[in-house]
Amino acid sequence: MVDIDDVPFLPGETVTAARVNGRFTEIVTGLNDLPSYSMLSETLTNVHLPSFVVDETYLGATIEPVNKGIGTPTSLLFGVPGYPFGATSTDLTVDFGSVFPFGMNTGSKVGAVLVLFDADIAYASYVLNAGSVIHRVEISQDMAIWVELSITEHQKYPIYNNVTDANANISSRTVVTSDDIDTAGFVGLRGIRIKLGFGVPLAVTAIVTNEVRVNAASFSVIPLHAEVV
Amino acid sequence: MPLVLPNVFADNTVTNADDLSENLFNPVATGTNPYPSFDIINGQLDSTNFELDTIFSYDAVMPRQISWAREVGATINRDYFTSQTFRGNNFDVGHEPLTGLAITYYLPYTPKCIVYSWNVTAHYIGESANADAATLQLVLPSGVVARAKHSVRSCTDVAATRTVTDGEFIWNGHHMVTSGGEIQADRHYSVYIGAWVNTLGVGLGPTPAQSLRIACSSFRVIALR
Repeated sequence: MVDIDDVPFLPGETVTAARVNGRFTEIVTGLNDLPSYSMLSETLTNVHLPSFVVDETYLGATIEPVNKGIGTPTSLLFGVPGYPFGATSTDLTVDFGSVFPFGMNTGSKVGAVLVLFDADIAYASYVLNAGSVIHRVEISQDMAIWVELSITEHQKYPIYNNVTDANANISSRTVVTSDDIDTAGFVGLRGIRIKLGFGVPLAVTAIVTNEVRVNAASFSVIPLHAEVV
Repeated sequence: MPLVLPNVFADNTVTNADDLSENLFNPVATGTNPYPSFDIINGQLDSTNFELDTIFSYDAVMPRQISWAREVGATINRDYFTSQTFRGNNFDVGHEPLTGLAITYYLPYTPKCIVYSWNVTAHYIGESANADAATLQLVLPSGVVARAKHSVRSCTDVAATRTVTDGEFIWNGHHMVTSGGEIQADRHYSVYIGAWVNTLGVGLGPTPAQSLRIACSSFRVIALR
Protein backbone atom coordinates (compact mmCIF):
# COMPACT_ATOMS: atom_id res chain seq x y z
CA MET A 1 0.00 0.00 0.00
CA VAL A 2 1.17 3.49 -0.82
CA ASP A 3 1.16 5.67 2.28
CA ILE A 4 -0.88 8.84 2.17
CA ASP A 5 1.22 11.42 3.96
CA ASP A 6 -0.35 14.70 4.87
CA VAL A 7 2.25 17.40 4.29
CA PRO A 8 0.63 20.66 5.34
CA PHE A 9 1.09 23.91 3.59
CA LEU A 10 3.46 26.01 5.63
CA PRO A 11 2.72 29.64 6.53
CA GLY A 12 4.00 31.91 3.83
CA GLU A 13 4.58 29.04 1.39
CA THR A 14 3.68 29.74 -2.19
CA VAL A 15 0.87 27.52 -3.35
CA THR A 16 1.91 26.08 -6.69
CA ALA A 17 0.07 23.83 -9.07
CA ALA A 18 2.66 21.10 -8.47
CA ARG A 19 2.02 21.15 -4.72
CA VAL A 20 -1.76 20.95 -5.21
CA ASN A 21 -1.64 18.32 -7.93
CA GLY A 22 0.93 16.28 -6.02
CA ARG A 23 -1.26 15.97 -2.96
CA PHE A 24 -4.27 15.01 -5.05
CA THR A 25 -2.15 12.41 -6.85
CA GLU A 26 -0.87 10.97 -3.60
CA ILE A 27 -4.40 10.39 -2.35
CA VAL A 28 -5.49 8.94 -5.70
CA THR A 29 -2.56 6.52 -5.69
CA GLY A 30 -3.32 5.46 -2.14
CA LEU A 31 -6.99 4.80 -2.85
CA ASN A 32 -6.09 2.72 -5.92
CA ASP A 33 -3.65 0.54 -4.00
CA LEU A 34 -5.60 -0.65 -0.98
CA PRO A 35 -4.40 -3.77 0.84
CA SER A 36 -6.78 -6.65 1.54
CA TYR A 37 -6.88 -5.80 5.26
CA SER A 38 -8.37 -2.39 4.54
CA MET A 39 -11.71 -4.15 4.22
CA LEU A 40 -13.82 -5.24 7.17
CA SER A 41 -14.02 -8.98 7.74
CA GLU A 42 -17.10 -10.80 6.40
CA THR A 43 -17.79 -7.91 4.05
CA LEU A 44 -18.08 -9.75 0.75
CA THR A 45 -21.34 -11.45 -0.17
CA ASN A 46 -22.42 -13.46 -3.18
CA VAL A 47 -23.29 -10.27 -5.08
CA HIS A 48 -19.64 -9.15 -4.85
CA LEU A 49 -18.06 -12.42 -5.84
CA PRO A 50 -18.05 -14.63 -8.91
CA SER A 51 -18.59 -18.35 -8.45
CA PHE A 52 -15.62 -20.09 -6.90
CA VAL A 53 -16.48 -23.25 -8.82
CA VAL A 54 -14.40 -23.26 -12.00
CA ASP A 55 -16.33 -23.62 -15.23
CA GLU A 56 -14.13 -22.41 -18.07
CA THR A 57 -11.56 -23.40 -20.68
CA TYR A 58 -7.93 -22.48 -20.16
CA LEU A 59 -5.03 -23.48 -22.40
CA GLY A 60 -7.22 -26.06 -24.07
CA ALA A 61 -8.32 -27.65 -20.81
CA THR A 62 -12.02 -27.79 -20.05
CA ILE A 63 -12.05 -27.16 -16.32
CA GLU A 64 -15.51 -27.81 -14.93
CA PRO A 65 -17.27 -29.97 -12.33
CA VAL A 66 -17.58 -33.55 -13.51
CA ASN A 67 -19.72 -36.33 -12.12
CA LYS A 68 -19.04 -39.81 -13.44
CA GLY A 69 -19.78 -43.23 -12.15
CA ILE A 70 -20.74 -46.81 -12.64
CA GLY A 71 -24.38 -47.64 -12.91
CA THR A 72 -24.25 -51.32 -13.67
CA PRO A 73 -21.86 -53.89 -12.21
CA THR A 74 -18.34 -53.61 -13.59
CA SER A 75 -15.49 -56.02 -12.98
CA LEU A 76 -11.98 -54.81 -12.42
CA LEU A 77 -9.39 -57.55 -12.79
CA PHE A 78 -6.02 -57.51 -11.12
CA GLY A 79 -2.87 -59.42 -11.73
CA VAL A 80 -0.99 -61.53 -9.22
CA PRO A 81 -0.66 -60.21 -6.65
CA GLY A 82 -3.50 -57.78 -6.78
CA TYR A 83 -1.83 -55.15 -4.67
CA PRO A 84 -0.06 -52.84 -5.32
CA PHE A 85 -1.02 -53.44 -8.92
CA GLY A 86 -4.51 -52.06 -9.03
CA ALA A 87 -6.97 -51.52 -11.83
CA THR A 88 -8.80 -48.50 -13.09
CA SER A 89 -11.91 -47.77 -15.07
CA THR A 90 -12.66 -45.01 -17.54
CA ASP A 91 -15.89 -44.53 -15.59
CA LEU A 92 -13.76 -43.47 -12.62
CA THR A 93 -11.31 -41.28 -14.58
CA VAL A 94 -11.69 -37.58 -15.32
CA ASP A 95 -9.66 -36.08 -18.17
CA PHE A 96 -9.70 -32.27 -18.41
CA GLY A 97 -8.39 -32.62 -21.97
CA SER A 98 -5.14 -30.71 -21.53
CA VAL A 99 -2.72 -29.87 -18.76
CA PHE A 100 -3.34 -26.57 -17.00
CA PRO A 101 -1.18 -24.77 -14.41
CA PHE A 102 -2.30 -25.26 -10.84
CA GLY A 103 -2.50 -22.62 -8.13
CA MET A 104 -4.27 -19.37 -7.38
CA ASN A 105 -1.15 -17.49 -8.46
CA THR A 106 -1.25 -18.98 -11.98
CA GLY A 107 -3.27 -18.04 -15.02
CA SER A 108 -5.89 -20.69 -14.40
CA LYS A 109 -6.44 -19.56 -10.79
CA VAL A 110 -7.39 -23.11 -9.88
CA GLY A 111 -6.07 -23.71 -6.37
CA ALA A 112 -7.94 -26.83 -5.32
CA VAL A 113 -9.99 -29.70 -6.70
CA LEU A 114 -12.54 -31.32 -4.43
CA VAL A 115 -12.80 -35.08 -5.02
CA LEU A 116 -15.65 -37.29 -3.84
CA PHE A 117 -15.86 -41.03 -4.41
CA ASP A 118 -18.33 -43.64 -3.20
CA ALA A 119 -18.71 -47.20 -4.39
CA ASP A 120 -20.55 -50.37 -3.57
CA ILE A 121 -18.32 -53.41 -3.90
CA ALA A 122 -20.38 -56.38 -5.00
CA TYR A 123 -17.59 -58.83 -4.43
CA ALA A 124 -13.86 -59.04 -4.14
CA SER A 125 -11.78 -61.90 -5.48
CA TYR A 126 -13.04 -64.70 -7.63
CA VAL A 127 -11.87 -67.45 -5.35
CA LEU A 128 -12.15 -67.82 -1.63
CA ASN A 129 -9.38 -65.53 -0.56
CA ALA A 130 -9.86 -63.26 2.39
CA GLY A 131 -8.53 -59.83 1.70
CA SER A 132 -9.32 -56.17 1.58
CA VAL A 133 -10.43 -53.75 -1.09
CA ILE A 134 -7.95 -50.91 -1.45
CA HIS A 135 -8.65 -47.63 -3.17
CA ARG A 136 -6.83 -44.36 -3.67
CA VAL A 137 -6.88 -41.14 -5.69
CA GLU A 138 -4.28 -40.58 -8.40
CA ILE A 139 -3.37 -37.51 -10.46
CA SER A 140 -1.63 -37.04 -13.81
CA GLN A 141 -0.37 -34.27 -16.07
CA ASP A 142 -0.37 -36.37 -19.24
CA MET A 143 -2.79 -39.27 -18.62
CA ALA A 144 0.19 -41.61 -18.92
CA ILE A 145 2.17 -41.25 -15.71
CA TRP A 146 0.00 -41.30 -12.61
CA VAL A 147 1.06 -40.36 -9.10
CA GLU A 148 -0.88 -41.51 -6.07
CA LEU A 149 -2.06 -39.25 -3.30
CA SER A 150 -0.85 -41.56 -0.59
CA ILE A 151 -2.94 -39.92 2.11
CA THR A 152 -6.07 -41.03 0.25
CA GLU A 153 -5.22 -44.73 0.27
CA HIS A 154 -7.63 -46.76 2.37
CA GLN A 155 -8.46 -50.40 2.68
CA LYS A 156 -11.58 -52.08 3.86
CA TYR A 157 -12.24 -55.70 4.58
CA PRO A 158 -15.41 -56.90 2.93
CA ILE A 159 -18.13 -58.54 4.96
CA TYR A 160 -18.42 -62.04 3.63
CA ASN A 161 -22.04 -63.04 3.67
CA ASN A 162 -21.28 -65.28 0.79
CA VAL A 163 -18.12 -66.28 -0.97
CA THR A 164 -18.72 -63.85 -3.75
CA ASP A 165 -20.74 -61.28 -1.87
CA ALA A 166 -18.48 -58.63 -0.42
CA ASN A 167 -21.20 -56.15 0.53
CA ALA A 168 -18.58 -53.50 1.17
CA ASN A 169 -19.00 -49.79 0.75
CA ILE A 170 -15.97 -47.57 0.24
CA SER A 171 -15.71 -43.80 0.26
CA SER A 172 -13.14 -41.10 -0.22
CA ARG A 173 -13.20 -37.33 0.28
CA THR A 174 -10.11 -35.32 -0.49
CA VAL A 175 -8.83 -32.06 -1.94
CA VAL A 176 -6.04 -31.93 -4.52
CA THR A 177 -3.77 -29.00 -3.60
CA SER A 178 -0.79 -27.21 -5.08
CA ASP A 179 1.42 -29.21 -2.72
CA ASP A 180 0.19 -32.42 -4.36
CA ILE A 181 1.13 -31.10 -7.80
CA ASP A 182 4.53 -29.95 -6.57
CA THR A 183 5.22 -33.23 -4.77
CA ALA A 184 4.41 -35.16 -7.94
CA GLY A 185 6.84 -32.99 -9.89
CA PHE A 186 4.10 -31.95 -12.30
CA VAL A 187 3.85 -28.66 -14.18
CA GLY A 188 0.08 -28.78 -13.86
CA LEU A 189 -2.92 -31.05 -13.72
CA ARG A 190 -4.76 -32.91 -16.45
CA GLY A 191 -6.46 -35.98 -14.96
CA ILE A 192 -7.75 -37.47 -11.74
CA ARG A 193 -8.77 -41.09 -11.26
CA ILE A 194 -9.65 -43.72 -8.71
CA LYS A 195 -7.54 -46.85 -8.54
CA LEU A 196 -8.84 -50.00 -6.97
CA GLY A 197 -6.81 -52.90 -5.70
CA PHE A 198 -7.25 -56.11 -3.78
CA GLY A 199 -4.92 -56.88 -0.92
CA VAL A 200 -4.43 -60.35 0.57
CA PRO A 201 -2.66 -61.59 3.68
CA LEU A 202 0.94 -62.61 3.20
CA ALA A 203 0.07 -66.19 4.08
CA VAL A 204 -2.11 -66.48 1.02
CA THR A 205 0.09 -67.32 -1.92
CA ALA A 206 -1.99 -69.29 -4.36
CA ILE A 207 -4.15 -66.61 -5.86
CA VAL A 208 -5.60 -67.54 -9.18
CA THR A 209 -7.45 -64.41 -10.09
CA ASN A 210 -8.07 -61.20 -8.26
CA GLU A 211 -11.20 -59.33 -9.12
CA VAL A 212 -13.27 -56.57 -7.64
CA ARG A 213 -16.75 -56.05 -8.93
CA VAL A 214 -18.05 -52.52 -8.46
CA ASN A 215 -21.77 -52.63 -8.14
CA ALA A 216 -22.35 -48.91 -8.39
CA ALA A 217 -20.12 -45.92 -7.93
CA SER A 218 -20.19 -42.16 -8.03
CA PHE A 219 -17.06 -40.10 -8.73
CA SER A 220 -17.13 -36.29 -8.66
CA VAL A 221 -14.40 -33.70 -9.12
CA ILE A 222 -15.06 -30.02 -8.48
CA PRO A 223 -12.27 -27.56 -9.42
CA LEU A 224 -12.29 -24.43 -7.25
CA HIS A 225 -11.00 -20.88 -7.46
CA ALA A 226 -9.76 -21.25 -3.92
CA GLU A 227 -6.64 -22.30 -2.14
CA VAL A 228 -6.36 -24.74 0.74
CA VAL A 229 -3.85 -23.53 3.30
CA MET B 1 -13.75 1.83 -10.37
CA PRO B 2 -10.16 3.08 -10.30
CA LEU B 3 -9.99 6.61 -9.06
CA VAL B 4 -8.89 9.07 -11.76
CA LEU B 5 -9.54 12.71 -10.94
CA PRO B 6 -10.99 14.92 -13.66
CA ASN B 7 -9.06 18.10 -13.12
CA VAL B 8 -5.37 19.01 -13.01
CA PHE B 9 -4.39 22.49 -11.97
CA ALA B 10 -1.86 24.73 -13.68
CA ASP B 11 0.24 27.58 -12.44
CA ASN B 12 -0.83 31.09 -13.31
CA THR B 13 -4.35 29.96 -14.07
CA VAL B 14 -7.29 31.02 -11.96
CA THR B 15 -8.71 27.88 -10.32
CA ASN B 16 -12.35 27.17 -11.02
CA ALA B 17 -14.25 26.27 -7.86
CA ASP B 18 -16.24 23.65 -9.80
CA ASP B 19 -13.01 21.92 -10.78
CA LEU B 20 -12.02 21.66 -7.16
CA SER B 21 -15.41 20.35 -6.05
CA GLU B 22 -15.39 17.77 -8.84
CA ASN B 23 -12.12 16.43 -7.54
CA LEU B 24 -13.23 16.33 -3.94
CA PHE B 25 -16.84 15.10 -3.81
CA ASN B 26 -18.81 15.95 -6.92
CA PRO B 27 -18.18 13.26 -9.54
CA VAL B 28 -18.69 13.98 -13.21
CA ALA B 29 -21.31 11.38 -13.87
CA THR B 30 -22.41 12.33 -17.35
CA GLY B 31 -20.85 12.96 -20.71
CA THR B 32 -18.52 10.87 -22.77
CA ASN B 33 -15.77 10.92 -20.18
CA PRO B 34 -17.26 10.64 -16.70
CA TYR B 35 -14.90 10.71 -13.74
CA PRO B 36 -15.24 9.66 -10.14
CA SER B 37 -14.04 11.84 -7.29
CA PHE B 38 -12.89 11.20 -3.77
CA ASP B 39 -16.58 10.51 -3.28
CA ILE B 40 -15.91 6.85 -4.19
CA ILE B 41 -14.81 6.21 -0.60
CA ASN B 42 -18.51 6.48 0.30
CA GLY B 43 -19.14 2.80 -0.49
CA GLN B 44 -18.06 2.77 -4.12
CA LEU B 45 -14.63 1.17 -3.87
CA ASP B 46 -14.32 -2.13 -5.69
CA SER B 47 -11.71 -4.71 -6.70
CA THR B 48 -9.89 -2.25 -8.98
CA ASN B 49 -8.99 -0.15 -5.95
CA PHE B 50 -7.01 -2.96 -4.35
CA GLU B 51 -3.35 -3.51 -4.91
CA LEU B 52 -2.48 -5.80 -7.80
CA ASP B 53 -3.04 -9.55 -7.29
CA THR B 54 -4.80 -9.13 -3.96
CA ILE B 55 -5.96 -12.51 -2.63
CA PHE B 56 -8.69 -12.41 -0.04
CA SER B 57 -8.73 -14.97 2.74
CA TYR B 58 -11.90 -16.68 3.88
CA ASP B 59 -12.51 -14.18 6.67
CA ALA B 60 -13.27 -11.49 4.08
CA VAL B 61 -16.35 -13.40 2.96
CA MET B 62 -19.61 -13.49 4.85
CA PRO B 63 -20.48 -17.04 5.92
CA ARG B 64 -22.70 -19.08 3.57
CA GLN B 65 -22.12 -16.71 0.63
CA ILE B 66 -19.97 -18.96 -1.59
CA SER B 67 -20.98 -22.29 -0.14
CA TRP B 68 -23.97 -23.30 1.86
CA ALA B 69 -25.08 -26.52 3.52
CA ARG B 70 -27.81 -28.17 5.56
CA GLU B 71 -27.88 -31.56 7.28
CA VAL B 72 -30.43 -33.84 8.90
CA GLY B 73 -29.87 -37.09 10.73
CA ALA B 74 -31.24 -39.63 13.14
CA THR B 75 -29.75 -42.29 15.40
CA ILE B 76 -32.83 -44.17 16.55
CA ASN B 77 -34.07 -47.34 14.95
CA ARG B 78 -36.85 -46.87 12.44
CA ASP B 79 -38.70 -50.00 11.43
CA TYR B 80 -40.66 -50.09 8.21
CA PHE B 81 -42.90 -53.15 8.20
CA THR B 82 -43.87 -54.46 4.85
CA SER B 83 -47.33 -55.34 6.06
CA GLN B 84 -48.08 -51.65 6.44
CA THR B 85 -46.03 -49.84 3.85
CA PHE B 86 -44.17 -50.14 0.55
CA ARG B 87 -47.31 -50.68 -1.45
CA GLY B 88 -46.64 -51.16 -5.13
CA ASN B 89 -44.54 -53.58 -7.09
CA ASN B 90 -41.68 -51.25 -8.00
CA PHE B 91 -39.72 -48.37 -6.52
CA ASP B 92 -41.49 -45.63 -8.45
CA VAL B 93 -44.92 -46.38 -7.05
CA GLY B 94 -44.10 -48.11 -3.81
CA HIS B 95 -41.25 -46.25 -2.16
CA GLU B 96 -41.35 -44.27 1.06
CA PRO B 97 -39.19 -41.31 2.13
CA LEU B 98 -37.05 -42.23 5.12
CA THR B 99 -36.98 -40.18 8.29
CA GLY B 100 -33.52 -38.75 8.88
CA LEU B 101 -32.79 -38.96 5.18
CA ALA B 102 -35.21 -36.35 3.93
CA ILE B 103 -34.61 -32.62 3.81
CA THR B 104 -36.40 -29.52 2.63
CA TYR B 105 -34.25 -26.48 2.05
CA TYR B 106 -34.33 -23.03 0.53
CA LEU B 107 -31.65 -21.89 -1.92
CA PRO B 108 -30.72 -18.24 -1.41
CA TYR B 109 -28.84 -18.01 -4.72
CA THR B 110 -28.29 -19.97 -7.90
CA PRO B 111 -25.36 -22.31 -7.29
CA LYS B 112 -22.96 -23.73 -9.85
CA CYS B 113 -23.38 -27.20 -8.45
CA ILE B 114 -25.05 -29.04 -5.60
CA VAL B 115 -23.67 -32.07 -3.81
CA TYR B 116 -25.92 -34.42 -1.89
CA SER B 117 -24.24 -36.92 0.40
CA TRP B 118 -25.58 -39.44 2.85
CA ASN B 119 -24.71 -42.25 5.23
CA VAL B 120 -27.10 -45.04 6.09
CA THR B 121 -26.81 -48.08 8.30
CA ALA B 122 -29.69 -50.41 7.67
CA HIS B 123 -30.86 -53.87 8.53
CA TYR B 124 -33.04 -55.93 6.30
CA ILE B 125 -35.08 -58.64 7.94
CA GLY B 126 -36.51 -61.48 5.94
CA GLU B 127 -35.50 -63.94 3.34
CA SER B 128 -34.72 -63.32 -0.25
CA ALA B 129 -33.53 -65.22 -3.23
CA ASN B 130 -31.12 -64.02 -5.86
CA ALA B 131 -32.61 -60.66 -6.68
CA ASP B 132 -33.17 -57.23 -5.21
CA ALA B 133 -35.03 -57.48 -1.94
CA ALA B 134 -34.90 -53.85 -1.02
CA THR B 135 -33.83 -50.73 -2.83
CA LEU B 136 -32.72 -47.38 -1.51
CA GLN B 137 -32.53 -44.55 -3.98
CA LEU B 138 -31.98 -40.81 -4.08
CA VAL B 139 -35.05 -38.92 -5.19
CA LEU B 140 -34.62 -35.38 -6.50
CA PRO B 141 -37.27 -32.80 -7.37
CA SER B 142 -36.61 -33.53 -11.03
CA GLY B 143 -37.03 -37.28 -10.65
CA VAL B 144 -35.32 -40.42 -9.56
CA VAL B 145 -31.58 -40.71 -10.03
CA ALA B 146 -30.71 -44.17 -11.17
CA ARG B 147 -27.02 -44.11 -10.35
CA ALA B 148 -27.42 -43.20 -6.71
CA LYS B 149 -29.01 -46.49 -5.83
CA HIS B 150 -28.28 -49.23 -3.40
CA SER B 151 -29.78 -52.62 -3.84
CA VAL B 152 -29.52 -54.84 -0.83
CA ARG B 153 -29.12 -57.86 -3.04
CA SER B 154 -27.92 -57.29 -6.56
CA CYS B 155 -25.01 -59.65 -7.08
CA THR B 156 -26.19 -60.46 -10.54
CA ASP B 157 -23.20 -62.59 -11.36
CA VAL B 158 -23.90 -65.14 -8.66
CA ALA B 159 -24.77 -68.26 -10.55
CA ALA B 160 -26.63 -70.22 -7.93
CA THR B 161 -29.84 -69.14 -6.35
CA ARG B 162 -29.23 -68.47 -2.74
CA THR B 163 -31.16 -67.41 0.28
CA VAL B 164 -29.87 -64.65 2.45
CA THR B 165 -31.35 -63.93 5.82
CA ASP B 166 -31.09 -60.76 7.82
CA GLY B 167 -28.90 -58.70 5.58
CA GLU B 168 -27.10 -55.68 6.95
CA PHE B 169 -25.58 -52.94 4.89
CA ILE B 170 -23.95 -49.57 5.12
CA TRP B 171 -24.40 -47.10 2.31
CA ASN B 172 -22.23 -44.04 1.99
CA GLY B 173 -23.07 -42.16 -1.15
CA HIS B 174 -23.06 -38.85 -2.89
CA HIS B 175 -24.50 -37.30 -6.01
CA MET B 176 -23.62 -34.04 -7.72
CA VAL B 177 -25.87 -32.02 -10.00
CA THR B 178 -24.68 -29.16 -12.19
CA SER B 179 -27.82 -28.46 -14.16
CA GLY B 180 -31.49 -29.18 -14.17
CA GLY B 181 -34.33 -28.33 -11.86
CA GLU B 182 -32.17 -28.26 -8.75
CA ILE B 183 -29.89 -25.46 -9.99
CA GLN B 184 -32.16 -22.52 -9.34
CA ALA B 185 -32.73 -20.02 -6.58
CA ASP B 186 -35.58 -18.56 -4.55
CA ARG B 187 -37.34 -21.89 -4.27
CA HIS B 188 -37.89 -24.57 -1.68
CA TYR B 189 -36.68 -28.03 -2.56
CA SER B 190 -37.38 -31.44 -1.10
CA VAL B 191 -34.86 -34.21 -1.55
CA TYR B 192 -34.78 -37.59 0.12
CA ILE B 193 -33.58 -41.14 0.14
CA GLY B 194 -36.51 -43.39 -0.57
CA ALA B 195 -36.81 -47.07 0.23
CA TRP B 196 -38.78 -49.79 -1.39
CA VAL B 197 -39.00 -53.32 -0.07
CA ASN B 198 -40.10 -56.04 -2.40
CA THR B 199 -43.20 -56.96 -0.42
CA LEU B 200 -44.78 -58.78 -3.31
CA GLY B 201 -41.82 -61.05 -3.79
CA VAL B 202 -41.40 -59.94 -7.39
CA GLY B 203 -38.47 -61.88 -8.71
CA LEU B 204 -37.83 -63.36 -5.30
CA GLY B 205 -38.41 -66.63 -3.60
CA PRO B 206 -41.61 -67.51 -1.86
CA THR B 207 -40.84 -65.46 1.26
CA PRO B 208 -40.74 -61.72 0.73
CA ALA B 209 -39.03 -59.24 3.00
CA GLN B 210 -40.57 -58.61 6.39
CA SER B 211 -39.18 -55.27 7.42
CA LEU B 212 -36.48 -52.74 6.84
CA ARG B 213 -34.74 -51.17 9.82
CA ILE B 214 -32.85 -47.91 9.39
CA ALA B 215 -30.47 -47.63 12.34
CA CYS B 216 -28.37 -44.52 11.75
CA SER B 217 -28.62 -42.01 9.01
CA SER B 218 -27.55 -38.59 7.93
CA PHE B 219 -28.25 -36.60 4.80
CA ARG B 220 -26.71 -33.34 3.75
CA VAL B 221 -26.99 -30.88 0.90
CA ILE B 222 -24.07 -28.65 -0.05
CA ALA B 223 -24.51 -25.83 -2.55
CA LEU B 224 -21.41 -24.36 -4.17
CA ARG B 225 -22.01 -21.01 -5.77
